[in-house]
Amino acid sequence: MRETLLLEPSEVQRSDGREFMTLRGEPLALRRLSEEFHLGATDASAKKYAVVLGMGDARLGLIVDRLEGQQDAVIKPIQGPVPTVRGIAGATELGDLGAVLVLDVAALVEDLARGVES
Amino acid sequence: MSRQESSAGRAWDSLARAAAARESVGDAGLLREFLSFGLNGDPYAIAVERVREIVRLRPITEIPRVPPEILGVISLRGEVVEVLDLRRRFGLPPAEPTRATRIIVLHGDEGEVTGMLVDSVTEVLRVDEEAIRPPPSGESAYVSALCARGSGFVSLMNLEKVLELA
Repeated sequence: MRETLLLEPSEVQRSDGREFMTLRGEPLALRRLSEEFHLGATDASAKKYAVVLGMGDARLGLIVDRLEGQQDAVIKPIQGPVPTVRGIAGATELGDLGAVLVLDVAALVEDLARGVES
Repeated sequence: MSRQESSAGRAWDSLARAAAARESVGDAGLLREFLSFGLNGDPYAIAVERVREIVRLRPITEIPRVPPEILGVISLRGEVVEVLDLRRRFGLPPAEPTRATRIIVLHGDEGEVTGMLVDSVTEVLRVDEEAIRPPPSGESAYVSALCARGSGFVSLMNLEKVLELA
Protein backbone atom coordinates (compact mmCIF):
# COMPACT_ATOMS: atom_id res chain seq x y z
CA MET A 1 0.00 0.00 0.00
CA ARG A 2 1.39 3.42 -0.97
CA GLU A 3 -1.22 5.88 0.29
CA THR A 4 -4.93 6.43 0.79
CA LEU A 5 -7.06 9.14 -0.80
CA LEU A 6 -10.52 10.53 -0.27
CA LEU A 7 -12.28 10.17 -3.61
CA GLU A 8 -15.12 12.39 -4.81
CA PRO A 9 -17.32 10.74 -7.48
CA SER A 10 -16.49 13.66 -9.81
CA GLU A 11 -12.78 12.76 -9.76
CA VAL A 12 -13.43 9.43 -11.48
CA GLN A 13 -12.93 9.51 -15.26
CA ARG A 14 -13.61 6.80 -17.82
CA SER A 15 -11.62 5.68 -20.82
CA ASP A 16 -12.83 2.76 -22.93
CA GLY A 17 -15.01 1.60 -20.06
CA ARG A 18 -12.16 1.56 -17.53
CA GLU A 19 -12.14 4.00 -14.65
CA PHE A 20 -9.15 6.10 -13.68
CA MET A 21 -8.28 9.28 -11.84
CA THR A 22 -5.56 11.88 -12.02
CA LEU A 23 -3.01 11.65 -9.24
CA ARG A 24 -0.28 14.30 -9.21
CA GLY A 25 -0.59 14.79 -12.95
CA GLU A 26 -0.49 11.07 -13.85
CA PRO A 27 -3.38 8.70 -14.65
CA LEU A 28 -4.07 6.08 -12.00
CA ALA A 29 -6.16 3.06 -12.94
CA LEU A 30 -9.05 2.44 -10.54
CA ARG A 31 -10.82 -0.77 -9.67
CA ARG A 32 -13.84 -1.10 -7.38
CA LEU A 33 -13.32 -3.85 -4.82
CA SER A 34 -17.10 -4.40 -4.64
CA GLU A 35 -17.10 -5.26 -8.35
CA GLU A 36 -13.93 -7.36 -8.22
CA PHE A 37 -15.56 -9.50 -5.56
CA HIS A 38 -19.12 -9.31 -6.96
CA LEU A 39 -20.51 -7.87 -3.76
CA GLY A 40 -23.34 -5.97 -5.39
CA ALA A 41 -23.62 -2.29 -6.21
CA THR A 42 -22.81 0.34 -3.63
CA ASP A 43 -24.00 3.95 -3.63
CA ALA A 44 -22.21 5.41 -6.69
CA SER A 45 -22.83 9.03 -5.62
CA ALA A 46 -21.25 8.58 -2.18
CA LYS A 47 -17.74 9.62 -1.30
CA LYS A 48 -15.31 6.72 -1.46
CA TYR A 49 -11.72 6.06 -0.62
CA ALA A 50 -8.97 4.98 -2.95
CA VAL A 51 -6.20 2.80 -1.58
CA VAL A 52 -3.19 3.17 -3.84
CA LEU A 53 -1.42 -0.16 -4.25
CA GLY A 54 1.91 -0.70 -5.92
CA MET A 55 3.90 -3.73 -7.00
CA GLY A 56 7.06 -2.79 -8.87
CA ASP A 57 6.11 -0.26 -11.52
CA ALA A 58 2.43 -1.26 -11.57
CA ARG A 59 0.07 0.96 -9.64
CA LEU A 60 -3.60 0.55 -8.92
CA GLY A 61 -6.19 2.55 -7.02
CA LEU A 62 -8.59 0.25 -5.22
CA ILE A 63 -11.92 1.92 -4.45
CA VAL A 64 -13.42 0.99 -1.08
CA ASP A 65 -16.38 2.29 0.92
CA ARG A 66 -14.44 3.33 4.01
CA LEU A 67 -11.21 2.93 5.91
CA GLU A 68 -11.26 1.33 9.36
CA GLY A 69 -7.71 1.89 10.51
CA GLN A 70 -4.20 0.60 10.21
CA GLN A 71 -2.63 -2.18 12.18
CA ASP A 72 -0.03 -4.91 12.08
CA ALA A 73 -1.46 -8.40 11.94
CA VAL A 74 -0.40 -11.97 11.47
CA ILE A 75 -1.98 -13.46 8.35
CA LYS A 76 -3.52 -16.86 8.98
CA PRO A 77 -4.35 -19.31 6.21
CA ILE A 78 -8.04 -19.98 5.56
CA GLN A 79 -8.97 -23.58 6.36
CA GLY A 80 -11.89 -25.30 4.70
CA PRO A 81 -13.17 -26.91 1.50
CA VAL A 82 -12.18 -23.89 -0.61
CA PRO A 83 -8.94 -22.71 0.99
CA THR A 84 -7.47 -20.72 -1.89
CA VAL A 85 -9.32 -17.68 -3.17
CA ARG A 86 -7.70 -15.50 -5.84
CA GLY A 87 -7.10 -12.05 -4.37
CA ILE A 88 -7.32 -13.15 -0.72
CA ALA A 89 -4.05 -13.84 1.06
CA GLY A 90 -5.67 -15.11 4.25
CA ALA A 91 -7.36 -13.62 7.28
CA THR A 92 -6.58 -12.30 10.70
CA GLU A 93 -8.50 -11.88 13.93
CA LEU A 94 -9.27 -8.34 14.98
CA GLY A 95 -11.06 -8.28 18.32
CA ASP A 96 -14.78 -7.56 17.97
CA LEU A 97 -14.68 -7.73 14.18
CA GLY A 98 -13.93 -11.46 14.24
CA ALA A 99 -12.11 -12.70 11.17
CA VAL A 100 -10.94 -9.96 8.80
CA LEU A 101 -9.86 -10.91 5.28
CA VAL A 102 -6.44 -9.81 4.07
CA LEU A 103 -6.13 -8.93 0.39
CA ASP A 104 -3.43 -10.41 -1.80
CA VAL A 105 -2.17 -7.14 -3.26
CA ALA A 106 0.26 -8.85 -5.63
CA ALA A 107 -2.53 -10.93 -7.19
CA LEU A 108 -4.91 -7.97 -7.49
CA VAL A 109 -2.33 -5.73 -9.15
CA GLU A 110 -1.20 -8.57 -11.41
CA ASP A 111 -4.77 -9.26 -12.52
CA LEU A 112 -5.23 -5.61 -13.43
CA ALA A 113 -1.96 -5.49 -15.33
CA ARG A 114 -3.07 -8.47 -17.41
CA GLY A 115 -6.57 -7.08 -17.79
CA VAL A 116 -8.14 -10.13 -16.18
CA GLU A 117 -11.86 -9.85 -15.59
CA SER A 118 -13.07 -12.07 -12.79
CA MET B 1 -0.97 -34.66 15.36
CA SER B 2 -0.25 -32.33 18.25
CA ARG B 3 -3.10 -30.11 17.16
CA GLN B 4 -5.55 -32.98 17.26
CA GLU B 5 -4.34 -34.04 20.68
CA SER B 6 -4.64 -30.56 22.12
CA SER B 7 -8.06 -30.03 20.55
CA ALA B 8 -9.32 -33.27 22.07
CA GLY B 9 -9.06 -31.68 25.48
CA ARG B 10 -11.39 -28.90 24.39
CA ALA B 11 -14.00 -31.16 22.86
CA TRP B 12 -17.51 -31.37 24.11
CA ASP B 13 -17.80 -33.35 27.33
CA SER B 14 -20.07 -36.04 26.07
CA LEU B 15 -17.96 -36.38 22.96
CA ALA B 16 -14.95 -37.06 25.14
CA ARG B 17 -16.89 -39.63 27.09
CA ALA B 18 -18.07 -41.20 23.86
CA ALA B 19 -14.52 -41.30 22.56
CA ALA B 20 -13.37 -43.07 25.69
CA ALA B 21 -16.03 -45.69 25.14
CA ARG B 22 -15.28 -46.04 21.43
CA GLU B 23 -14.66 -49.51 20.03
CA SER B 24 -16.52 -51.01 22.94
CA VAL B 25 -18.33 -54.19 22.05
CA GLY B 26 -21.94 -54.54 23.10
CA ASP B 27 -23.92 -57.73 23.47
CA ALA B 28 -25.08 -57.65 19.88
CA GLY B 29 -21.85 -56.61 18.13
CA LEU B 30 -19.55 -53.68 17.42
CA LEU B 31 -20.87 -50.30 18.49
CA ARG B 32 -20.06 -47.19 16.48
CA GLU B 33 -20.54 -43.62 17.65
CA PHE B 34 -22.21 -40.84 15.72
CA LEU B 35 -23.00 -37.24 16.55
CA SER B 36 -26.58 -36.53 15.61
CA PHE B 37 -27.90 -33.12 14.62
CA GLY B 38 -31.08 -31.58 13.25
CA LEU B 39 -31.54 -30.03 9.85
CA ASN B 40 -34.91 -28.75 8.64
CA GLY B 41 -36.65 -31.01 11.14
CA ASP B 42 -34.85 -34.18 10.12
CA PRO B 43 -32.18 -36.09 12.05
CA TYR B 44 -28.72 -36.58 10.55
CA ALA B 45 -25.50 -37.95 11.99
CA ILE B 46 -21.77 -38.09 11.36
CA ALA B 47 -19.01 -40.24 12.84
CA VAL B 48 -17.75 -38.72 16.10
CA GLU B 49 -14.16 -39.25 14.93
CA ARG B 50 -14.67 -36.41 12.47
CA VAL B 51 -15.89 -33.94 15.11
CA ARG B 52 -13.29 -31.72 16.72
CA GLU B 53 -15.64 -29.44 18.63
CA ILE B 54 -19.05 -27.82 18.61
CA VAL B 55 -19.37 -24.05 18.93
CA ARG B 56 -22.23 -21.58 19.10
CA LEU B 57 -22.95 -19.31 16.16
CA ARG B 58 -20.47 -16.45 16.05
CA PRO B 59 -19.86 -13.60 13.59
CA ILE B 60 -19.19 -14.97 10.12
CA THR B 61 -17.07 -12.90 7.72
CA GLU B 62 -18.21 -13.37 4.12
CA ILE B 63 -15.59 -14.31 1.57
CA PRO B 64 -15.80 -13.42 -2.12
CA ARG B 65 -15.25 -15.80 -5.03
CA VAL B 66 -16.37 -18.96 -3.26
CA PRO B 67 -19.39 -21.22 -3.89
CA PRO B 68 -22.58 -19.90 -2.24
CA GLU B 69 -22.63 -22.85 0.18
CA ILE B 70 -19.63 -21.31 1.93
CA LEU B 71 -21.09 -18.67 4.26
CA GLY B 72 -17.69 -17.24 5.14
CA VAL B 73 -15.07 -17.69 7.80
CA ILE B 74 -15.05 -17.66 11.59
CA SER B 75 -12.19 -17.04 13.91
CA LEU B 76 -11.54 -19.93 16.26
CA ARG B 77 -8.84 -19.17 18.81
CA GLY B 78 -6.67 -17.64 16.10
CA GLU B 79 -7.54 -20.18 13.41
CA VAL B 80 -9.57 -19.01 10.43
CA VAL B 81 -12.10 -21.64 9.41
CA GLU B 82 -14.66 -21.71 6.60
CA VAL B 83 -18.29 -22.40 7.48
CA LEU B 84 -20.43 -24.51 5.18
CA ASP B 85 -24.18 -23.86 5.23
CA LEU B 86 -25.59 -27.37 5.27
CA ARG B 87 -29.12 -26.18 4.46
CA ARG B 88 -27.87 -24.51 1.31
CA ARG B 89 -25.73 -27.52 0.45
CA PHE B 90 -28.79 -29.77 0.66
CA GLY B 91 -30.99 -27.33 -1.27
CA LEU B 92 -33.18 -26.72 1.79
CA PRO B 93 -34.95 -23.41 2.47
CA PRO B 94 -32.93 -20.90 4.53
CA ALA B 95 -33.80 -20.44 8.20
CA GLU B 96 -33.10 -17.75 10.75
CA PRO B 97 -30.55 -18.85 13.34
CA THR B 98 -31.96 -19.79 16.75
CA ARG B 99 -30.51 -20.40 20.20
CA ALA B 100 -29.99 -24.01 19.14
CA THR B 101 -27.97 -23.19 16.00
CA ARG B 102 -24.47 -24.65 16.15
CA ILE B 103 -21.30 -24.86 14.10
CA ILE B 104 -19.84 -28.37 14.09
CA VAL B 105 -16.09 -28.08 13.59
CA LEU B 106 -14.83 -31.10 11.67
CA HIS B 107 -11.33 -32.37 11.24
CA GLY B 108 -10.05 -34.85 8.72
CA ASP B 109 -7.20 -37.34 8.54
CA GLU B 110 -4.79 -34.70 7.26
CA GLY B 111 -5.73 -32.22 9.99
CA GLU B 112 -7.91 -30.19 7.64
CA VAL B 113 -10.60 -28.23 9.46
CA THR B 114 -14.07 -27.13 8.33
CA GLY B 115 -17.07 -25.61 10.05
CA MET B 116 -20.58 -26.85 9.29
CA LEU B 117 -23.69 -24.85 10.23
CA VAL B 118 -26.60 -26.97 11.50
CA ASP B 119 -29.96 -26.18 13.14
CA SER B 120 -29.12 -28.02 16.36
CA VAL B 121 -26.86 -30.68 17.82
CA THR B 122 -28.79 -33.50 19.43
CA GLU B 123 -26.71 -36.25 21.04
CA VAL B 124 -24.05 -38.89 20.59
CA LEU B 125 -25.58 -42.09 19.28
CA ARG B 126 -24.03 -45.45 20.03
CA VAL B 127 -25.17 -47.60 17.20
CA ASP B 128 -24.95 -51.35 16.76
CA GLU B 129 -23.70 -52.04 13.25
CA GLU B 130 -26.65 -54.40 12.88
CA ALA B 131 -28.94 -51.36 12.98
CA ILE B 132 -27.34 -49.67 9.95
CA ARG B 133 -29.29 -49.93 6.70
CA PRO B 134 -28.55 -48.88 3.13
CA PRO B 135 -30.19 -45.60 2.13
CA PRO B 136 -33.64 -45.80 0.51
CA SER B 137 -33.60 -45.69 -3.27
CA GLY B 138 -33.46 -42.22 -4.75
CA GLU B 139 -31.61 -40.86 -1.74
CA SER B 140 -29.07 -38.15 -2.46
CA ALA B 141 -25.37 -38.84 -2.66
CA TYR B 142 -25.00 -36.97 0.62
CA VAL B 143 -26.46 -39.83 2.67
CA SER B 144 -24.48 -43.06 2.88
CA ALA B 145 -26.76 -45.08 5.18
CA LEU B 146 -29.60 -44.97 7.66
CA CYS B 147 -29.51 -46.07 11.24
CA ALA B 148 -32.52 -47.10 13.29
CA ARG B 149 -33.37 -44.75 16.12
CA GLY B 150 -36.58 -45.09 18.08
CA SER B 151 -39.45 -45.49 15.64
CA GLY B 152 -37.56 -43.91 12.73
CA PHE B 153 -34.17 -43.58 11.12
CA VAL B 154 -31.28 -41.14 11.30
CA SER B 155 -29.49 -40.33 8.03
CA LEU B 156 -25.76 -40.96 8.18
CA MET B 157 -24.11 -38.24 6.17
CA ASN B 158 -21.43 -38.88 3.56
CA LEU B 159 -19.05 -36.13 4.67
CA GLU B 160 -16.62 -36.61 1.79
CA LYS B 161 -19.37 -35.84 -0.74
CA VAL B 162 -20.79 -32.98 1.30
CA LEU B 163 -17.39 -31.30 1.61
CA GLU B 164 -16.55 -31.82 -2.05
CA LEU B 165 -16.88 -28.25 -3.33
CA ALA B 166 -14.99 -27.54 -6.51
